[in-house]
Amino acid sequence: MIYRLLYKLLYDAADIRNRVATNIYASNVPAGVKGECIVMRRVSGSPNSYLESESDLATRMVQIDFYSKSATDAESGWELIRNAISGRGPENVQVLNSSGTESTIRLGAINLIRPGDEIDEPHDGSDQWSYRFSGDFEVFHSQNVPTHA
Amino acid sequence: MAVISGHGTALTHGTITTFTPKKLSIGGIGGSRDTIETGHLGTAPAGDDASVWMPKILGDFFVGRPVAVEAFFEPENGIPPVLEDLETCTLTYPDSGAATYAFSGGVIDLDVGEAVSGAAMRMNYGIDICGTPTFTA
Repeated sequence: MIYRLLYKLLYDAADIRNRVATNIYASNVPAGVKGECIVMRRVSGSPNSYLESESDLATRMVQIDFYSKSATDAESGWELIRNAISGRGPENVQVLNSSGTESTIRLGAINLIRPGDEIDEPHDGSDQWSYRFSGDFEVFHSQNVPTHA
Repeated sequence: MAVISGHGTALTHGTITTFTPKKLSIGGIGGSRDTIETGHLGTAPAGDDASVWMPKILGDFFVGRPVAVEAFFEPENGIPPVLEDLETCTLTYPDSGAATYAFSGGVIDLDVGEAVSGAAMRMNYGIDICGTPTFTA
């Protein structure tokens, strides 16, 4: 759910869409992808439980990386991410489910926790598509309460 | 008998049944009573002792302390019934027999937590014990 939410918010930003198109991925970049891309990784989280169950508010820490062909391009790309989502909420976000239907996620807040400050140099001697600028966001969003069914 | 964790403990209001916040913690039944010293000038040590235990009698009243509750603050659910009269409140424990502690009580304090960007909103309130609690195993 967190990935669909963030994908929606990032893809809806025209500046991001113009840079990476649909190259916004969860966990890892598929093989064969070339060009700039964004990768999201859920690092940790909490369901905000109470005595009887999980609450309907989830907290997720997500690392978002922007990959590009140079350090400055990776940094500028990451700044587009920050501009699109940092400090956002509260609002309702319509996301597309895997079944093709839409559902509403209530976004409570997105807080920038660790601003992008790392640049990974290429490891294989190539200077293409391997520069990474990374940062962490804390995301508060609605979630379905477990039914224990 | 079995040791239990607190998960699943519930607190219900007998009259204001519509107030059902998501509770993070519920304090237990507790309180204290005084003792009254009855030692006087004529209270003498025994034998060759230099001192003597202070004699006391028990106070007449065991004073319950408020049951402290911490819960998520969800504005659409409102605040605890701070202006309502006494009602029967029931603590139900998550053991196999669903043991209960019922008492006459009323909300005596409320503290809605501050709104900050990095945390879910919470509130704290206390329900004072205004009569003899009844424990049912």
